[in-house]
Amino acid sequence: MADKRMDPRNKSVFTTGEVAQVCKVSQQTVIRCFDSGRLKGFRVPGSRFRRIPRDALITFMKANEIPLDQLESGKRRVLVVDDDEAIVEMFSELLQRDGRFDIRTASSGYQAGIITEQFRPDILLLDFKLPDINGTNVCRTIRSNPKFGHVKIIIISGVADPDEVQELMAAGADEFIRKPFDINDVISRVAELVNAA
Amino acid sequence: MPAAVVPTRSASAGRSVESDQIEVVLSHLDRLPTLPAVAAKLLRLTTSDTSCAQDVVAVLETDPSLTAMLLGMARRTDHGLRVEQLTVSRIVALLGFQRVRNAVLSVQIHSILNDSHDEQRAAQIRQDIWKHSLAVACVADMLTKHVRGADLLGDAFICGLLHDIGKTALDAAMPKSYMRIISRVQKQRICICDAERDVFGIDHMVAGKRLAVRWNLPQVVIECIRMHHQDHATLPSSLTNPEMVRLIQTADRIVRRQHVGFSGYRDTDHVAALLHHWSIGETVVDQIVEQLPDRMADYSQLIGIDDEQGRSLYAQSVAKANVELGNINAQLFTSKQQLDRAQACMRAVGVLTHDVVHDSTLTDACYATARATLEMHATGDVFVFIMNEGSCTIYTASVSSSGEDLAAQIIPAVGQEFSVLCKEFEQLAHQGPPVSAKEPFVSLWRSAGFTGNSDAVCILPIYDHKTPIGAVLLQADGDRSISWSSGTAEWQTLAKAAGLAVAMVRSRIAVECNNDELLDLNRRLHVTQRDLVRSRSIAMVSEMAAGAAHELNNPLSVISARSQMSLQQCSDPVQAQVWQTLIEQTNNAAEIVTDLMAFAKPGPPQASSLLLRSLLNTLSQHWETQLDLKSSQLVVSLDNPDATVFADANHLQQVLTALVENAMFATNAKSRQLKINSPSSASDETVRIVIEDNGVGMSAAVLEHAVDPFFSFREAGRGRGLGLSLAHRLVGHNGGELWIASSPQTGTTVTIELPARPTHCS
Repeated sequence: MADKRMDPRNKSVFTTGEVAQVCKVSQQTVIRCFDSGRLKGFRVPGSRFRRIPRDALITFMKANEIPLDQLESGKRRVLVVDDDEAIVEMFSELLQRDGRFDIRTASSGYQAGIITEQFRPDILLLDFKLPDINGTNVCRTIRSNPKFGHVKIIIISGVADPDEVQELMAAGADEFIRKPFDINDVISRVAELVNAA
Repeated sequence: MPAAVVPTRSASAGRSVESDQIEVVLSHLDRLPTLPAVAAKLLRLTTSDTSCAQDVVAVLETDPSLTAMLLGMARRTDHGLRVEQLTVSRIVALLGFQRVRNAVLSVQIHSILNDSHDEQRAAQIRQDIWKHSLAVACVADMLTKHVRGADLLGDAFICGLLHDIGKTALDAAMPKSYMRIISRVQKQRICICDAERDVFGIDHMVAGKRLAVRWNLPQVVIECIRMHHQDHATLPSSLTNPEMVRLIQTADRIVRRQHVGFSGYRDTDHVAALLHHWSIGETVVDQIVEQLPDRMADYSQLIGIDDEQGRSLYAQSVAKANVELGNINAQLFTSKQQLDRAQACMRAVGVLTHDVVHDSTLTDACYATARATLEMHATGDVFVFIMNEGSCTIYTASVSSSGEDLAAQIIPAVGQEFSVLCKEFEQLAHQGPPVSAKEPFVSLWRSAGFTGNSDAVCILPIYDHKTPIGAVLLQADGDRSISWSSGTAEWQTLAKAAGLAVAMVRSRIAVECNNDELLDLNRRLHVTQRDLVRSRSIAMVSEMAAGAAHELNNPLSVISARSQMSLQQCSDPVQAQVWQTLIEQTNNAAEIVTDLMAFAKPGPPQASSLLLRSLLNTLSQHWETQLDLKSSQLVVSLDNPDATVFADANHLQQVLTALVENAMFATNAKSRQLKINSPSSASDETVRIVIEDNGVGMSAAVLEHAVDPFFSFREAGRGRGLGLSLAHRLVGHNGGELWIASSPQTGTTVTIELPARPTHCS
């Protein structure tokens, strides 16, 4: 477990040493970049320790064309949100079997919010009707946070009303899939959206 | 000749001709002659303005004839009249002075046609008989003060006065014969009763009783008349008041002993026995006898019986009375005329109230008014018209002078004609007898087919309160001096009664109209209520369906996805087939859910103006490919090729497809013939699309449920029963209506009516 937490793929805040490891450069270089402002970050209150948030690191790596291999697993992270356990299990199994996806699940809108923050999924498979917050609101909340600008959202619902579908798309969903569905169709759409290799 | 020798006829010996005659005459006597002096005095008193009832009573109570007549009248007036304490003043009070006066005016007197010796003698005899009766009355009255049980003898005076009324009756019936009898009695000194029976077959007691019974005189009076010559000791026990008979007998004998007047009876023996019966002595009789001449004198003086000028005075009185009678007669004639008019008016009103009943029409009211008018004036045909402002029509009816109903009409009148009539009415402004009719009323009269002199046509307007509502037109009498001129009140009554009758009919019609309106409202309310219940139940079902559909989708998704995953991993072809079936059935189930949701929440229509022609062309192609509906099996015809429909294109497509699909299921593929037609609509605001098939049709029971969700007429498994229901719902959603006509074996026709263009609301 300790290993998993240390895994840079799961970390949200990095030390200068960790950044040096991930970017395969010296710690001094990292410190220099931090101090010059090219690498955004903050100092731990009450000390001089530098800390770099994950998104700042990604921005820095992309800007300097450093490969993100060390930061990412290669598998696309998928968050399945549905209050129906059978649906959740079915999706988990389906995506797992495909092998290209790393999967987390949530059974409510609130839980989905927390897990998104930690797990930073590439894509959400979101049920429209959740027990606490409806899918439209979950969509809006995620879209309102610039940190999750890249997160794709597929709404999966039994809803037939074209107006409601329209509303979902307007709230920020990328795709809408009607229940019941063709499994190959779902897999291919998910893969397409997240550019899964 | 002794009395016993006189041959008498017993009742068993048969009745003589004379006795029958007497009976007949007696049965017709309704009054008795009286003495000329009495009649003269009475006439004088009753025609004088200063005389009072008391004066008249004083004279009347001296006269048996008049007293008997008035007593009879009083008894007829009041059957409960108590006979006790009966006096002439009470009779007068009871009858009223006016009636007494009228009775006195009709008084008869004994013949005084000539001054012959016989006549003078007869007059003397009659006066003597009168004196006898009056004397008996006085003595009987005086005796009551001396005998015990006086309270039972209050009417002694009248009983005494009337006890010999039979003599007057016989005299009145056969005056000459009776005078002969009196002569014989006087000459032969026989008993008058025997003489009477000998000649007439009955005596004055029987004759008096007959008369008294017929005149309904009190029983006590009858008994005194019948029994005053019977032996006092052997009176029948059935008498109501034998003491009164004994009293009269006593008085009679006392008077006879004193030779006052004429009684025709000579027996005076039994006074002592009667006095003994009363326990009074001769001294009392002496006192009475002493007072008698004074009382008699008072009466004689009152009437002037001994006055030589009696007859001339009578003649004067008669002349004066005649004048009075003439006046009364003239008054009576006027009264009769008034009564005749009032009676005609009452008959007319009666006709109206009888003929105008709760379900009468305005025409009936016209006829009734015409017939009522005939009751007042039956000279010619009567025409009645009533204006009905509400419908601007004139109701007319006429009746012939013989009371036969002639033609009735309902004439539509334009507003102008109406106002002309109303204006003319205002100028007429009159309520009274009919007046000469002018235009436009005469034209109206002619329009009913009447010809003849229009100058003789008169009009009687009918008013409801003060509003003229019609009129009666009638023809004046031949000489045109209209006899109704004096009957203003009666004509007014007729006009008012007719107005009232018309008003009644009108208000009844108004009530009926309101009733009809109410019934219609009720029916519409009922339909609305039914629709409301229906739409509410559909709303409830929809709500439930939407919820259920959503819940169903999750398990269906799981089943479907799991089956697909299993299929991918399955290498056994049999097993694979099972998974495949599972997937297909899950998809079917999902489709049902989709349909259900579409039905439950169709979504608001996105209406636009669609050219019907191009829409149907597109759909025909669609049906040909999707439903396998051959173009030869479908005839599309539009009366107006440019017809548009304002609706949601998607909805309309669903509706028409559902209907065509249904039609295809109802028809045999070989003989299938579908027609889609858009007939030109009555209003250019709406457009109709009619889909007709030659299929199996529907029975009334099926038709009733045709638009209910999940009601399918097809064989099980061939349809979900939502097509027609959804079509009905979608058409309603688009502001239109859908209705179905169908009968088994002839096919079904579904008609859709939709807005042709955007309405103000949309």
